[in-house]
Amino acid sequence: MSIEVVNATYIYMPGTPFELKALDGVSLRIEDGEFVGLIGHTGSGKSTLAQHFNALLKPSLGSVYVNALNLNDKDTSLKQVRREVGLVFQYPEYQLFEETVRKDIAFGPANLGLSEEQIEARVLEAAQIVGIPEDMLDKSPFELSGGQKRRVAIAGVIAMRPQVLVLDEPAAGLDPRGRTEMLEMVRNYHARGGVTVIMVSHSMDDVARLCSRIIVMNRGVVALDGTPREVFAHGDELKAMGLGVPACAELSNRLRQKGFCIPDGVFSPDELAEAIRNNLKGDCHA
Amino acid sequence: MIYSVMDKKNVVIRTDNVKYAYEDGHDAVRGVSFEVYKGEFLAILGHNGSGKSTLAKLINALFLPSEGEISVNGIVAKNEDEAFEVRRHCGMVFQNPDNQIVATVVEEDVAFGLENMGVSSEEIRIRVDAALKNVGMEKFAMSAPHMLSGGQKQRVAIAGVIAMRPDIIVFDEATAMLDPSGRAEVMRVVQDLNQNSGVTVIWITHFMEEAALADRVLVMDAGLIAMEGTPMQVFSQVDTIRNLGLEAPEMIILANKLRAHGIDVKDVMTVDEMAVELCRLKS
Repeated sequence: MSIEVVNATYIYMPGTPFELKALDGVSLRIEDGEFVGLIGHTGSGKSTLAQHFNALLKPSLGSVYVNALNLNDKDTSLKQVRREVGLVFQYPEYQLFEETVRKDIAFGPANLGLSEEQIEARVLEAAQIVGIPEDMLDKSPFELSGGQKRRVAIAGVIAMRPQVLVLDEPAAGLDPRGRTEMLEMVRNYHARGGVTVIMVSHSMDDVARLCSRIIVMNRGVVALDGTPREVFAHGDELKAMGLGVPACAELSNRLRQKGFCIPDGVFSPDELAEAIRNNLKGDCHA
Repeated sequence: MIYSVMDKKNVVIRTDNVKYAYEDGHDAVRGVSFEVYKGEFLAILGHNGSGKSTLAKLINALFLPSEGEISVNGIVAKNEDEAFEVRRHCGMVFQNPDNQIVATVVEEDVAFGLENMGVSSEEIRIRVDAALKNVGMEKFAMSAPHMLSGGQKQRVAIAGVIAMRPDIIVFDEATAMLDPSGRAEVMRVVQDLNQNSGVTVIWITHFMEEAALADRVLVMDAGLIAMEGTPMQVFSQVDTIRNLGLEAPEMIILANKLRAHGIDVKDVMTVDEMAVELCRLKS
């Protein structure tokens, strides 16, 4: 399922003293099956853009198409669009409310008019994808750890079997192991195939590890769009936008200025160690 | 790297075999002994559930130990009055700025604690202005907190704490909910308080790059202190760190990989240090 944004502008509270142009003529196209990182610092417009993907927000100007359906069109069923584009908000664990984990995950599918068996099958599948063991399904969500709660909340969206999954900062606030596990989970979900995943983040490290394409938002416009290698080559611009550059990418940039030959866009310790060895052992192929 | 004005002879916090069990029987802290020195910047690391936040609440006397003893500036809290006294010496900043802001105007929020302490209104004016200036928020004195960014809100929360003039401040994952620029803002303010106002800082975090700026690091695991030392001593043990559910800073991982390639780099922790070291080896 592809998403196309054409010249979209979004203004919060138009006509008031708080008027704010959060998106300013954004155009982009996300293809079926892509794994995209949407990055930018707070206020860059990335979360506003993400909320356009399932018509929670509609552009003040311009259009958004999901599988060629214009979300501004009166005949487009927004309910249908929201089933197919699942959105996981920031800190989704605050949205859990049911008595048991099972009921919480089942809430969405139960509203789709499925049979009991179908609902149960979806709950089990979603729980398995996010790594919630079956014996946890009858617990109260409030007995779980923060990381587990977040997984349950994500399972509730996955159980709707969306074709596009949009996650807003899925790893925010987790400890390093929790982050790694969460990101692995998202990676594995995408690797199962058949879904487009869009991950909103302000962590360059996280998107660099996972995504094949990074879209950088700044002041409501798309500032950079490309593979991680292409995007990290713009180290100074990224810093000026208040975004960190992964430490290895920054060191690569620094060493190039000092006459090292480091291939473009190196950003993992393994790749960089090899490039440095080639330089220091007089075996440079850059 | 920063080195604050740490006075190793002057112990401000002493914990002696401190244990804490929650009512449900969960042993969160299982026997911890350490000292904190005046003017120190001490980072406490550990994965979720390692006991580090419980330890923070014990230091601040929000919890009293089930066993063992904690003394803060010589005060051992055994009851609510003494706990209150500890909190006058030792302030605390929490993770979520939205849970710490009570007033609808920034300067009223900063004054809140002082009003409860019965400080005179002239003195409140002086302290609130100074505290807001300290955190670089003086221009926002009359703003509504909900219009501020996360980093700005957290700086207001810090101003509220420093207005009470504590000697020690415990920060319990105070940057966890902030974006990179918000984190940098808060870190700068706290380093400034530590280096220029002599405030002892206990900095609980998940971010290794923040801990790398501390004088000393404690790593908690399963309610015990698993590692202790300078950031370099702790982080250079890359595998141990990983087994404790944490990740060493990338430059230390890179240094280890370079050594595996037979390149003899010195201990470095930051990109700057690594760049200097590699240029030295190249020439």
